[in-house]
Amino acid sequence: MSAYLIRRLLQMVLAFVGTTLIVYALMFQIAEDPLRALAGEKPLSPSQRIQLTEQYHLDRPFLVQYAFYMRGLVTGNPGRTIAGRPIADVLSEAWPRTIRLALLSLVIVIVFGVAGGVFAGLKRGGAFDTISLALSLVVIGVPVFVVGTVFQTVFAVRLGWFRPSYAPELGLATYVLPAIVLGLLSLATALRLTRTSVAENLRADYVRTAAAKGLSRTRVVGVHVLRNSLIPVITFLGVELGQLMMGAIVTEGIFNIPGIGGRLFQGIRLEDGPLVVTIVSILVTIYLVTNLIVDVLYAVLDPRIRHG
Amino acid sequence: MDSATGQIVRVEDATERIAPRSLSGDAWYDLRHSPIFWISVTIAVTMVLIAAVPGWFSHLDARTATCSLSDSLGRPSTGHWFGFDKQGCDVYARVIYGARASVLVGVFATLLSGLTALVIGLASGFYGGWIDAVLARFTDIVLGLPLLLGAIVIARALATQDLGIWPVVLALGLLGWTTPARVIRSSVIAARQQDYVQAARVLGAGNLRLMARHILPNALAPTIVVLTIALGAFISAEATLSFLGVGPKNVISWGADIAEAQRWIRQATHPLLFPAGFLTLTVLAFIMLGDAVREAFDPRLR
Repeated sequence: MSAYLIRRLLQMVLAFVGTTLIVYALMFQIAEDPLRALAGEKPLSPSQRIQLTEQYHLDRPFLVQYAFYMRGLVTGNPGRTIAGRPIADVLSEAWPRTIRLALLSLVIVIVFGVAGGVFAGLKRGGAFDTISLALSLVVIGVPVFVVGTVFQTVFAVRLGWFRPSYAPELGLATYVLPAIVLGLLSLATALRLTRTSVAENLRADYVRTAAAKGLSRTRVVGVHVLRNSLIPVITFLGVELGQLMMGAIVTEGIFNIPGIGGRLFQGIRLEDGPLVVTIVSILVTIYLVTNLIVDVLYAVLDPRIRHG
Repeated sequence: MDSATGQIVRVEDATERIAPRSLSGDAWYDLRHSPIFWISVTIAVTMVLIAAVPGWFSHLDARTATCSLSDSLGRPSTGHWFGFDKQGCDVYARVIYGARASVLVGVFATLLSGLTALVIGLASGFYGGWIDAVLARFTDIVLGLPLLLGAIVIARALATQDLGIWPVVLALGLLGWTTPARVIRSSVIAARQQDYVQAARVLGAGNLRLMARHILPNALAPTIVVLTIALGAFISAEATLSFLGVGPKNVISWGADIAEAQRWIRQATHPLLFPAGFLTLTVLAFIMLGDAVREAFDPRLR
């Protein structure tokens, strides 16, 4: 196990350095003028040019720039936005909102996706199974921003069930519609995964044995089948938490939530290069770390993986 | 395949052929009888036609038509089926002319990622050893960069020049090859160990000939399936990037139109719903097409 862990950690360090290097190189090296890439089409005053050159050490060789940048990121001092606000402040204010949104979304995915999947798997081929499979195919095909804008139009603007945009005075309630939009894709995938897993386990020998021992159907399904069926679902949900953070870019943009994704959305529109690079690097890191945790978890749960 | 099974049955009646079919013959038989296949093919072909010759579908050229603010957010009517957007432009014409950006980005990004995947998947599957190990680590690095984030960075970096759809094509193509590459690699590994490949090698066939004539044809079906699904995903990604504001510049695009319409949804919803509907149909058509072909080719489902 420890050998596997070390190998996996080394792979992650390599992937982390590789991806951040690629992001950084793309951000600053592709463009003829890196300052233009940072500031977009906005005019830059000479003092802003000097400040940005200093902040990103653009007068130094590429690898030195990268090293300085990574040091800033790792020590929690990623510099300032184009407007001059410390990026660390912007982020610490935005994080709680994104985490609330992602967690609420995860709850919706677990409650409806997993429960629906178990139900569909138990009655395979039934009406609920067929309808939910067809619906989940549609959800998987439709881009998140279409789901988001259409839900906003229908449920918030036309029907008036929700507020169309972020209203902090409503507390957690303001996150409900965005969380549904954000979680819908994962919900569909979780439903399909749980369904297949439950349906497969129902045919397993140990289920027949348990039934033959005279255990009640509730106990066989609730304890024996469920425990084994949920292993792949749990790992999937782990990866999804990282994915939900990515999906938050679009969802928070649509509903005007000033979280991490909403800030990135604004950063792109306002052409705020420093903010965009920082948020992208942080999101990539989260993605890599959650993937690592899930892989390790998987190896703990399933001994075949680590010896494979 | 027929001669390999040793029983060639010739049935004169051409309409009902009972002779043993090859896997692809079986798959084609299944596909011909699948309504989902025909629906998705029809939608996909229509969208490609709209993208190629939009003039056949709309007498109004959205690229040159003048929009009148007096029509702003006008409701759908007989002359203008989809109504008008905020600028007073005809939504139907914009939806028709917006298909081109989506389809072109989808096709070119699929070609680029397909070629990259072919080279990398073939090299790592066929040669194995350290080449495979190095390419696998490289694939891990690219996989660590989520498609959307990487594309935002690439598209932004190239945004200062006016390059039309190409920054987006480049971004999606360079980041989207990982899954097809893995599919190709595993089918190449499966084919490499087959007896007929060994036989060809013994007969003196070189590496290039082995790859092109004996191994690639075996990897073709799964590759086409995964690339068809990728095409749908790329069209979806292009629209998402346009929606975020880093899509193709100076091009009519569904994603950009949806983003613009979203700002006025309290006043009118039709400028949003029509492009959203077309986009959804197109993406779904390619994903369902890939799904139908995969099911037809999967022997476990027989």
